[in-house]
Amino acid sequence: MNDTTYLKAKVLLLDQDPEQCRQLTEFCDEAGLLPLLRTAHDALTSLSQHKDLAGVLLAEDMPCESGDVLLLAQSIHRQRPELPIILRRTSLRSLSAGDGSPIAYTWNTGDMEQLRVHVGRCIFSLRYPVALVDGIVDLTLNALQSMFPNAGVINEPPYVVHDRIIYGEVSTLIPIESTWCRGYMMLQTEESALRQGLIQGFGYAGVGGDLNFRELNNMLGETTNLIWGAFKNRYIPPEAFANQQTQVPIVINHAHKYISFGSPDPQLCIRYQLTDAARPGLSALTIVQRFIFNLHWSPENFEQFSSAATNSGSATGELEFF
Amino acid sequence: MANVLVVDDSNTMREIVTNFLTQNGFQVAVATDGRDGLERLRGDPEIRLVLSDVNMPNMDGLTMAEKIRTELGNQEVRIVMLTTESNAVMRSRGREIGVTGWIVKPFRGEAVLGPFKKFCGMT
Repeated sequence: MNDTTYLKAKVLLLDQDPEQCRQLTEFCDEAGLLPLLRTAHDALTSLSQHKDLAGVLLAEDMPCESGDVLLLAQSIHRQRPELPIILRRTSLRSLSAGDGSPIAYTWNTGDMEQLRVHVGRCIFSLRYPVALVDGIVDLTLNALQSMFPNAGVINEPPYVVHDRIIYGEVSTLIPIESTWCRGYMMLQTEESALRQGLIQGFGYAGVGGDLNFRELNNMLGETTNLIWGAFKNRYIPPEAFANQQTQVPIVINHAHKYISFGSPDPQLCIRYQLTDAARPGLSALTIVQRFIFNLHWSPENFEQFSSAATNSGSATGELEFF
Repeated sequence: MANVLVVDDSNTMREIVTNFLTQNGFQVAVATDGRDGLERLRGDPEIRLVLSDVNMPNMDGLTMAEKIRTELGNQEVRIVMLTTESNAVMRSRGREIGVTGWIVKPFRGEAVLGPFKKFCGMT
């Protein structure tokens, strides 16, 4: 049940020493890392090409244009601060790792055990039971097959990512809650690929209208709903049902700057302007706030509550002695 | 006039179910949530079967079913929940408020065609 050894993670390997590369490739194979061997020159390009990375293995003696690998580390960190950079030390110069530095951890050349500890700590910091991962794959394959009955559906080997870049333009989000977890499930895909699949006949005949972006959003939303339901039915024990609330998928389409909470009702919208009194000519910073009460809305109950609500509680910022 | 009311907040699901039922001779009306479903049912006395999702915005399917039996006083219409939910607590609540049947998604039309025709007097 708690065997967690088979998940992989993709890392950028920036090391030009042939012997170190050989050792690191062996290490990666043992540790479950999938190394993408790159030069300093194409490191940043690789970051734009791979949005599902888990970290960066960097050598201090990596040849680079600036002559200082720390400048390269800073560039990587600026682009993707969520990716831990683990530096292989080759000199004795003073170097801090951790807070404020682009380097998360350092390790001494040859000390593979030290590297193994760092990888465990920052790349595989959360362990996923094999039984859970297999179960998720199984129920998701079933849901995808039922939504796209004319498509062949397979899965690639599961892996872990630290990247926070969204794949494609259409994504959905739904809360997942059980006695043993609280979080979200997200589905992401490319709008054009989804449309093309449906044109090819993956889905049900006559479903999806003219396949405009709203129809595609709906398709992914319903797929999310099916997976969520199957997950709940398999992994949420009866004692957790009492705390379960109705949920509907949130659907986001980045290309169209679109977000849906599933309800056609109006949302409460308030715009705030932040200005600089010393520079009245400059444009204001606008912050838009919206409240979406899509799952429950009872103004009658609010009226009963509102008078008490406004008079209760401590004044903010004041110390209250008990 | 329709003999089946399909209530689901998912446009995709409404299309899948409606297409199947229409192809099999049913007259279908649709609603996007429980509140909408209640209004449709109020306005169409010919509806013999309500096929509804549970998790929907504004009003969930079980609340709608309860209101059909109590507020509308309609004890005749068959109410079948078509949902991803399969937990015993919800099913039990459904039974208590007068839900006729429960289908766990995904929807497999052929498996339920017989009973649906019977509910609608089409056999």
